[in-house]
Amino acid sequence: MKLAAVSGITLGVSRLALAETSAFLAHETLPGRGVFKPTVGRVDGVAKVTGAKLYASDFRASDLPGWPANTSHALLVRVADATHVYAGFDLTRLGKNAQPSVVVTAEDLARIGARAPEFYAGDLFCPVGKTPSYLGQPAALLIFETFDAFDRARLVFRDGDFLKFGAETGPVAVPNYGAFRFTRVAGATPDAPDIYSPLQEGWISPGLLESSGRPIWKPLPVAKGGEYVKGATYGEAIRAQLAGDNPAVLTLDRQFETQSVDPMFLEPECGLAWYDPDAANLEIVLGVQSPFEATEAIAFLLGEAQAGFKPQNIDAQFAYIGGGFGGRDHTPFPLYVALAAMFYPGHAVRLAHDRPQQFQGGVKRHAFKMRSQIGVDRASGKITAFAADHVLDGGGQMNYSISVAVVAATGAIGVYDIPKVDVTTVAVHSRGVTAGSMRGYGTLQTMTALEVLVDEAAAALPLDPIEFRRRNALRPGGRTMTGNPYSVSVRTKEILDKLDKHPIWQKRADEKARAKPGFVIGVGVACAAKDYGTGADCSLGSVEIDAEGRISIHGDAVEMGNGIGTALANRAALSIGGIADEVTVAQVDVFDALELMTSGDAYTITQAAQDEAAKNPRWVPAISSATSASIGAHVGTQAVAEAARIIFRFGLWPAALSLWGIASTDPRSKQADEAYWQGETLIMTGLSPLPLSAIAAKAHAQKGVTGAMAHAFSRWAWSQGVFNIAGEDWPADIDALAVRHGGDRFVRLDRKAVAFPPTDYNRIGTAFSSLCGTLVRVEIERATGALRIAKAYSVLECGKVLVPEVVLGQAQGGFAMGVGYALLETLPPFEDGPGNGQWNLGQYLVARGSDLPLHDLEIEILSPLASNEPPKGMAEVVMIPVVPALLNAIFDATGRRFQSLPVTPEMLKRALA
Amino acid sequence: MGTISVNGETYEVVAASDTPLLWVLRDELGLTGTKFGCGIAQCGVCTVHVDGVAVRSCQMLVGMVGQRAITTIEGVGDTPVGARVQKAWLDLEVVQCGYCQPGQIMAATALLAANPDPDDGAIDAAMAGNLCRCGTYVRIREGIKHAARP
Repeated sequence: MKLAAVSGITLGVSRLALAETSAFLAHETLPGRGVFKPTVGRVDGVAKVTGAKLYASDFRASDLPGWPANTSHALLVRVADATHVYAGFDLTRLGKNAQPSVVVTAEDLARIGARAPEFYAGDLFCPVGKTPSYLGQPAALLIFETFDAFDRARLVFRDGDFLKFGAETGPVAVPNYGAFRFTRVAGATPDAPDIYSPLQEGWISPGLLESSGRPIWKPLPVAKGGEYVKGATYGEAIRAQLAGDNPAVLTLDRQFETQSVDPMFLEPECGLAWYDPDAANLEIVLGVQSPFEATEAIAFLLGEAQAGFKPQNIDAQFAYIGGGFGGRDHTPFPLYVALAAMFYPGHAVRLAHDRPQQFQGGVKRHAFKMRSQIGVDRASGKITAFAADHVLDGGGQMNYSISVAVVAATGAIGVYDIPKVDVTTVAVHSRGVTAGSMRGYGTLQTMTALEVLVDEAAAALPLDPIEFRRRNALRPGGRTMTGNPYSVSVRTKEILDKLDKHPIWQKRADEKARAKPGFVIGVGVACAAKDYGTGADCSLGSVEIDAEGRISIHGDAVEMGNGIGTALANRAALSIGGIADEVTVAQVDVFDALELMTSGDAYTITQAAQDEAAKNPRWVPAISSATSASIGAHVGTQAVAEAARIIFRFGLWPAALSLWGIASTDPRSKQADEAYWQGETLIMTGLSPLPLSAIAAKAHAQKGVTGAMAHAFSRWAWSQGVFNIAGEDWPADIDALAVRHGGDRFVRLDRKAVAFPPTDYNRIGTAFSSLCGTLVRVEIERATGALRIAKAYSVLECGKVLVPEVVLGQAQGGFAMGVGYALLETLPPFEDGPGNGQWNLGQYLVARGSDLPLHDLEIEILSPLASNEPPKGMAEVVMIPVVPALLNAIFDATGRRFQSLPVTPEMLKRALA
Repeated sequence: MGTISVNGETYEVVAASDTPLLWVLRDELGLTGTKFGCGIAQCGVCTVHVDGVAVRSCQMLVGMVGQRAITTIEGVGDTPVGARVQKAWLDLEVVQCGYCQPGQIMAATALLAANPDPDDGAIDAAMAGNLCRCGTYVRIREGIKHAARP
């Protein structure tokens, strides 16, 4: 398909249709044996319990039609030294049986004219004569004809002596990745305009730096522009207030540190590629969270390359991914897969990390150093001011560091309504492994620090911790620290009430008193509000129904364990009754009929440029975006939901009217909203129930709308388009639409009008948020420091629940990941850390079943406020309060308030000694 | 190297005898349902059965297998216990990303074949070496109990 052209290269993005379908059917051996659609449960369930070929790492060239029969293997050699000059390598170290057929280095990239995409700016390979800018930076790509040679070489590299280094230089100095200050001073009353806010004034960055590269936050005079000075002046006033000696105000000033951790998805990154020089076609198979981005990045990489290294076409195919958790969103790995193929033309080459390589090269969660100050009016228990300073270790490449810094800072006041807030944040380069996206990024760190601080403040007042939170809870319509209110439901009070009434909380004193000899017991509580969405989220989807009532759904979101395929099927069923017979994900190639085009950057485009571009009915601010579990329901299903509504309204409903014999002049013909589905039967009071199959047959017979494909874009609000369908103006939360009548082809409909979200919304920070609260009761053995989570309860709200089992599973999984982050996982920075290439799962501890209260983990999902409340993202928020709740429980048990993570048994043992 | 028996079929193996069984299964026989996770027997995603016993195929050299019967996720559904476990996994919607689940199912099947009604301690002991980063542990335990008492 011709999706887009980048640097003169046409891009095709598709799912592994042929290979996957074959393998899927061949392995379908269970209930529903031979039946494609499971009667209940996940659409990918059967394939996943029978070992079907689903993941990128499962494919070899021989699995793919038209590819070479044999697979060659590539090794990405990475440096474990970032303080000495890189001096090259010695291939004789590999021995005769492990010699590569091809070696690719920085010199080769320079020779062919390859370019690093802006997101991955820097040297894709460290050139000889330079000090590597980070541990784990690639130095060479070695391609082996046989697996045996590859595997022997892989083991030689493990000893770390293959690469040579010269003079010591110390770490490379690189400017910080970004620095921002978010300051808000509320008006005198909740309804009064803010005196100062990022929403009103824009985001500000300090223009002056210390010699170390750290920002100077003080409002020093600047040569031009006073924006920073103005904001910083308000910020410094807040800090002065917090520093004041006012006996009526409780002031706490604390430091908190969080560690680097690995997403540790169980399928290490992997890809397979083949460049056919005769056709100038690059075929590539990947498993990523951001298919469109990966393909565009490869096209940019090779877009100006010399003859023989610039494909005319890139056909990228995307597999299911064996875990992602953010760590497969925008990684440079696909670039190296592509290079392997381009430098070994005519051969299929597989590049696959083993676990030490994944630790060494995969993106990590940012380690944070935070200073937080809070002021609380002792009489009212109201928080009067909050200030914080964040320093993020971004590691070797910028990647998502700026976004993480912003999300962290704007989430720093959690679920609270605080009238004066001042937060500075700076993401710095280090020689550590690159930090990037990971589940709950930024807010996990800052809300953990906040909730521990809030707990301490409550104890110091003293005030019941839940009551203290209740007095300060953000209410519906209340403003966040950027100055905007959430545009979705805010149910803080309900969450707190649920926590308050829960037996874990109510009986905490009794349980504490019942501790066995040699053990201590504590209960902790915490709450979190987590944004979902990125401010430029896209959804592509299509729904088709055939004359027998069989439903096919295609979406561009990636299945990463989030059940997106199942969610798509269930959301469409709300409008068209039936659960889809076929759902495909990670697709972009089926949406040609929309003829989309884009320009500019959705985050930075001006209003004037957007208004001008929008005159082209094919233009959208962005075409496709990365998938994360937390936006699966809200974003990933949006286009399909709107497509299904259109099919119902302009295909199935007119067909039903015909079957009922209701004329268009009959008032009942306008009452589509009153009809509803019971399974695959359409019910309308006073009329005979109609089966979907009969309605679909009629819709096809009368050439109604039987297929719709749509594109949706959200910048904290959906684009709204108006389309003329069957003579009626149809407004919908989409900006591009194509429809199919009967069995015809899809035809694009020009939108009659469109309202894209204003570009000012880029200042918001976030407008969508879900809330979750957690209670945990821990039991700690004095002699060993061993901690057992005896009971836990999480309560969350996420609007309409599309697939309850998926939501519950995400909550259970989020709890496990939170436990790992609080108690187990850590990666040291620099030479002792993963960049040394020696880390594996014997050293890196993640939560196992035995670390969790498997029988005693209660999850409660609040019902939506209304039946039509849209689904909200929830896969991240369920993890966050687990961490501070554990720390608060540890304090309750031990009297020690830990200010860094993870809290290990050895630390607990010392605290109890 | 010789022949091995996998899922009731006999295969001629070309790889050297010091090749891990996992590589042979995935790269030579094309049985990619068994996964690679760590290569040091710490994650359990490579679990297969050798004469009904759960082993980590990343650490077992193919030359050590001999004529013992290997069962992988592709064949375990042909055993009564394996079919029950897979059905339980579907009934309870255990999977998320699914990558670890072949290993989980193989470990659970070996457990139930040896101990048809395991208690929590036995389940913890048998499953301790199988990681799931999606955190499906609650349902894995429920799934084992469901399969034990269908």
